[in-house]
Amino acid sequence: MFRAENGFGLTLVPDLGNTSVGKWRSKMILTCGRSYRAAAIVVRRDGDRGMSERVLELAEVRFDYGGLPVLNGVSLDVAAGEFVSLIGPSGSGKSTILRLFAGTEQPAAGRVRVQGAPPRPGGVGYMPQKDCLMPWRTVLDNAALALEVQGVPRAAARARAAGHLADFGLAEFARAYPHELSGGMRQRAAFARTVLGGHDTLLLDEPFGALDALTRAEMQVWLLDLWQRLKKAVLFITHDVEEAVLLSDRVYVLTGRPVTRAAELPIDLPRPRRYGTVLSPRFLGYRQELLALLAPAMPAAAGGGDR
Amino acid sequence: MRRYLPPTVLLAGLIALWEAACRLGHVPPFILPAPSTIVATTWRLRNYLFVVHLPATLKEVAIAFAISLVVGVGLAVLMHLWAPAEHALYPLVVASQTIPLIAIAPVFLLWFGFGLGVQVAAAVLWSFFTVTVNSFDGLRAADPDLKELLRAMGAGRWRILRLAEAPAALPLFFSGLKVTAAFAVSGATIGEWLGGERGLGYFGRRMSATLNAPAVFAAALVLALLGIACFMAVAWAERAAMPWQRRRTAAAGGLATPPPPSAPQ
Repeated sequence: MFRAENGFGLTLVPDLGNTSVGKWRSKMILTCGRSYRAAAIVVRRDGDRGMSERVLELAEVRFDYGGLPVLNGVSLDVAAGEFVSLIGPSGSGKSTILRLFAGTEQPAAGRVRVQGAPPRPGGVGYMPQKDCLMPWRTVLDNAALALEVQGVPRAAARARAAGHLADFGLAEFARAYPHELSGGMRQRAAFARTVLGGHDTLLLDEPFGALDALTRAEMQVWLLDLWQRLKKAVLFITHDVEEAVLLSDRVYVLTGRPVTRAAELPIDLPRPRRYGTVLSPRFLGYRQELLALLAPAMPAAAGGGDR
Repeated sequence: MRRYLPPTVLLAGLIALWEAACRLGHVPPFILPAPSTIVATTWRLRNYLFVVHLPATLKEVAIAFAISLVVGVGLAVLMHLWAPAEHALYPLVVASQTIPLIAIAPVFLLWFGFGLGVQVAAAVLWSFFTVTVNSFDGLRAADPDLKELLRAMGAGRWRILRLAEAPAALPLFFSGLKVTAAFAVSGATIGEWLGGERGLGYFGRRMSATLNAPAVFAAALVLALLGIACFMAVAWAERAAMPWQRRRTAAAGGLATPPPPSAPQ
C-alpha cells in the first residue's frame, strides 16, 4: 500500500511508534539485509493528491440485516485529515457503516474502500459505542491493546503507550483499573487505545453518547483539540445535532428505512472551534439546516418548532 | 473479619448443643461421640492421622485435582472453540455426573488395582465436572462487543481467546475450581473406602469395622479440615490471579463482592 521501490530495493514501511504526529517514517531495507533509518526521505503516499485523497469510500452500498435492506445504494466518502459525522436515528445503519469500514461486516452489494483497498480487520482505528475497556487490565494495559494485537511484544507496547498517556490526560491513572475511572476518563482511555493503534483513519461510534452534558461538552472540545494535533481522518457517529455541527467538516444525514442516500451538509465554520462556537449565528443556521434534513426521521417535529 | 462472625457463632452453637446432648442424653460414644471426645481422639491418634494417612490422601487429592484441572479446562476450551466437540461432549460430561460412583467402583478396582488408581479415578470423576462446566460457561461469558473490537483490530481466534475470553472466564472458572478442590477430597475418600490401603478414608473404614466411632469421626474431622484447606487454597489463588477484583472489593469499603454465579450442581 505504502510501498515505493527504487533501484536499491528500497521499501518504505510505516513506523507505528510515531503515532502522535501521524507521519510515516521510512525505514530503508537494502536488499543485502542491512537496514537503517532514512528519516530525511520524503514519502508521498500512492495516489496522494493533497486534501482530495479519499481514505474512506462507500459507493452504492447495499447491506441487509435479517433479510431486510438497511442500506440501499448509499455512497459517502471521507478525505485524509477530514472530520466527518454521520447522523441519523437509531437503526439507520450508522454503526453498520463503521463495521463495513472496519472489515467486520461485508456489503451485499457495492464498493467499500479504505485507502483505496478493500477493508481488512486491523486496517483502521475503530472505537465502538461501548468503551469496551478490559476490566482486568489497567489503563496502561488497555491503551496498549491495539499495539499488542498488531503483534508488538507486551513490554514494548506498554512502554510505547506509557509515553502517550499524558496526551490523553491519563498519566496519573496508568495503573488504575477501568472501574476506578469516571465516564469521561474511560472514554479517554478508549481513545488512547484507538489512537495508539497508529492508524491514520479513526472510526468513532458515538463516543460521547453515554456521558452527561457537562462531561460531553468538555470531551467535545478535548476531541477537537486532539484531532487538530493528530491530523487524522475521523468518521464520527452521533445522535446530537449540535455535536455534529461543532465537530465536523461535513455531516452526512441518514434517514429512511432502508437508507437510500446519505444527504451531505458541509460545515464551513472557522477552526479552531471552541465551545463558544455554538452561540454564533452561522452555527445556528447549520443546526437548523441539519434539523431540516433530519425532519423525515422526526415526524413529531415536522409540524413546527425547531426540535 | 466481620463476615466470618455469623458462621463461627452458628458453628459454635451447634457444637455446644451436640456436646450437651451427648453429656446429658447419655448417648453411648460408639453411636455419637461428643465433640470433645472427637478432638481428644484426634490428638491421641495424631500419629496415624497426620503422619501416615493424611499424606496418602493429600497425594491422591493433589493428583486428582491436577487431572481435573487439566482435563476440565482442556474440555472446556475444546468445546468452546469447536462446536461439534460441544455437541458430542457436553451431554457426556453431564451424564458422567449421573454415574453412581459406588456402582462403578468395582470396575475401577479391576482397572486400576488397589494402588493409587481407584482413589484418583473416583476423585477425578467426582470433581472434574464443576471446573469443566464453569470454565466452559466462563469462556462464553466474554463481552461480545469486546470480541468484535478485537476482530476489528485484526485479532484472530486464538488471540481473542487469550486476550478476552480467558480473562473473562476467570471468575466462573475459580468458583468452579473451589468446588472441584473440595470434591476432590470427598472423591478420594470414597475411593479409599472402596479399596485402598492407606488414607483417611481407609482409616475411617477400618475403624468403623471395629465400631470405633470416635476414630471414625476423628478421620472425618481431618478430612473436613483438608477439604476446607483445599477450598481456601484455591480461594487464595483466585485473589492472587484477579487483582482487579481485589481492588474493586477495597473500593466498595471492604465489603465482599457479590458472589459469582455458583457452580452448577
